[in-house]
Amino acid sequence: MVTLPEISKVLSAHPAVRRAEVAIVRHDGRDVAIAAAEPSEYVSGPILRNYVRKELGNDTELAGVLIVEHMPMADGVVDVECLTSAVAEGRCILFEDPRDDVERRVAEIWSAQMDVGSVGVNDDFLELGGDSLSVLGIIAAIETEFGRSLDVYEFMNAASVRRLAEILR
Amino acid sequence: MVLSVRRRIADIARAEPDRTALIGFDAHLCEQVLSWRDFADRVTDTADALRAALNRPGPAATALDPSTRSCAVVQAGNTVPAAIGIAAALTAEVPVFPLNPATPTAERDALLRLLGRRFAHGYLIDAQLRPQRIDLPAGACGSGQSGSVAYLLATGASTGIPKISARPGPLRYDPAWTPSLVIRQTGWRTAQRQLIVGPLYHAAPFTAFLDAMLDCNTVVLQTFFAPRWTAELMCRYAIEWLQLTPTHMREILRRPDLDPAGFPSLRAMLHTAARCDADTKRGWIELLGPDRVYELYGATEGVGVTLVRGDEWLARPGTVGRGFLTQIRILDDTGTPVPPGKTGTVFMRTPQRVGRSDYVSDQAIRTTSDGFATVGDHGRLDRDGYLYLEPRDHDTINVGGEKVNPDEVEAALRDHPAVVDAVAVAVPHGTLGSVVGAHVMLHPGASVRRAELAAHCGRRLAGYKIPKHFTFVDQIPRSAAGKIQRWRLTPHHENGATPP
Repeated sequence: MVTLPEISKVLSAHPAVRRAEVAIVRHDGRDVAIAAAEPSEYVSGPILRNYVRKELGNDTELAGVLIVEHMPMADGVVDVECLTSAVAEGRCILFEDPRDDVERRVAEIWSAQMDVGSVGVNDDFLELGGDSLSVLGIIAAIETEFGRSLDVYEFMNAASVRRLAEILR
Repeated sequence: MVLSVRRRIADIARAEPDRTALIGFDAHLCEQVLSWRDFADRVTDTADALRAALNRPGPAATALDPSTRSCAVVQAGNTVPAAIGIAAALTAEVPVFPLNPATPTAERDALLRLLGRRFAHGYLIDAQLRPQRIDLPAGACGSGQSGSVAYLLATGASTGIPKISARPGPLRYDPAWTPSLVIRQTGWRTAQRQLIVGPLYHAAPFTAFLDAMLDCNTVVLQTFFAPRWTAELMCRYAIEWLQLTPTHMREILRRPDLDPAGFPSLRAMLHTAARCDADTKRGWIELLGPDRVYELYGATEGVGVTLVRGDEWLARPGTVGRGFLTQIRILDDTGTPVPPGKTGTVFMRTPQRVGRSDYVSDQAIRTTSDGFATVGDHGRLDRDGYLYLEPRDHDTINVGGEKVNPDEVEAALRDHPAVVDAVAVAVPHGTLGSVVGAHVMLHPGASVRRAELAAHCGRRLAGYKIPKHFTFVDQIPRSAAGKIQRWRLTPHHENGATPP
């Protein structure tokens, strides 16, 4: 079992991270581990989350990483209230596995085309590190797999596996 | 397969030696034609000369400095030597700065000082294609600016403060990227015939030239803009693709001899940079048909782009289109997203983050922690994600608290038969803060009284929007991109000429 200090230690060692803290927050009736990271250069939450999973294993229960300009602190520790509201307001995307076959197939295409280890169904394409080349690759692979052509606008409007799967269903 | 510029030019010259690479005109407007073989030879020779000049030992103090770096400055009129000079610097992988040959001395010095912050030496490539060492005034050395540069471009022409934006390099040919995906959506084809009308020292024509060269185009360089000549060149060389500014578009439309059936070879006309007024836009859509008119909105800095085709524009007049590989978010002053229909600052996010230019001078881009960036434009989105821009804050004229959009006043003025072009500016006013003033350029030989222009505006505009001062001018100062250089127009009006 990976502990919270281990996660924050790994995150803090990332070259784009100045400071990181991890806390457990309550969301949708369950406890989830959320990190807050203060970056020194542009980096996204999903990229940092995948970095932790790569370093510590895919079973690391880190649900999301919130990028903050300044570490929110309360009484000398990271402000859990602040993290909780960020998750509730959708400012911190939580990792979620595909819930059906269409989402699973789309996530696999993303993962293969972008060379990204784990793709959450709500992750944003650009935040996962997608580029123009992977857009073309994904659109071509979806056409082969689902027999439906997509244009670049449709794809970028969808921007997540879940919303793309809704179009394809 | 990714290739260097040197290799790519050599490959094209080997595969298609006799195909035309470049057509230009000399000082007597005599046509000069270069095949790909000739073009490649002259580019290679110039690149080698530039490399040799760079390797010549300099003063001891700088020769010992390992951080010494050089750039090439090309006098970038739309001439064959300028095109070769630019291609040669890119081939030699020396950062190249295309300079407006008509830059006033003070502005030129300011630009060289900006270059001097980053480079120790400059090499001017003249019309004879001989690289000559020039002095770059040593600026406060930006030690943080490392990494190689492909090219540098002057920007900020509409604000009057010169800035230089640097594009990371070296430039490479990649069949998947050259030209970019968005340009390929605008009817661009490999090995097409392209007319370059705008000057090579401006971003849009400059990058169109690089894409053209790497994508095996035949390029026709128009030495200077003259509307009738542009139309004639399009016909004579069966041009397939071109990029224009709204000013070009407006002036070409005014030609009485313009033939709507005159451009059968043209696949697309793309316009960028400055905002285009609705009448000019409609005129071109009527001229070419909606599927051959494209507009691209995007900052030089590569923050993101929107694209709109004529048919989409007809359905949503005034839009600059949807984000292309770009997410758009409209934020209010506190940084909170606003719903569709509400105006705010336009933030964009695009995958090309790595390729984003940085400024040699002060940072002009604001970014959010999640990677959205803005150059400060204001606008709104509709429910389908189409973007509409509002006038920039510094252009809006505040008349006693009423906001006046200069575009609206200018469009009303241009609607008058005697008026060629017009600019609306704020004129200081004792009680209202400011009122609207207009700089007006008339057709040669035309004359009109100020009262008549005011009455003409009064039939189209609310009272506070009617210009209270008129200045008749010979020329509206516009940048190469067609953007009005409002800073060149003084807020006072005593230096105006009287009408003929």
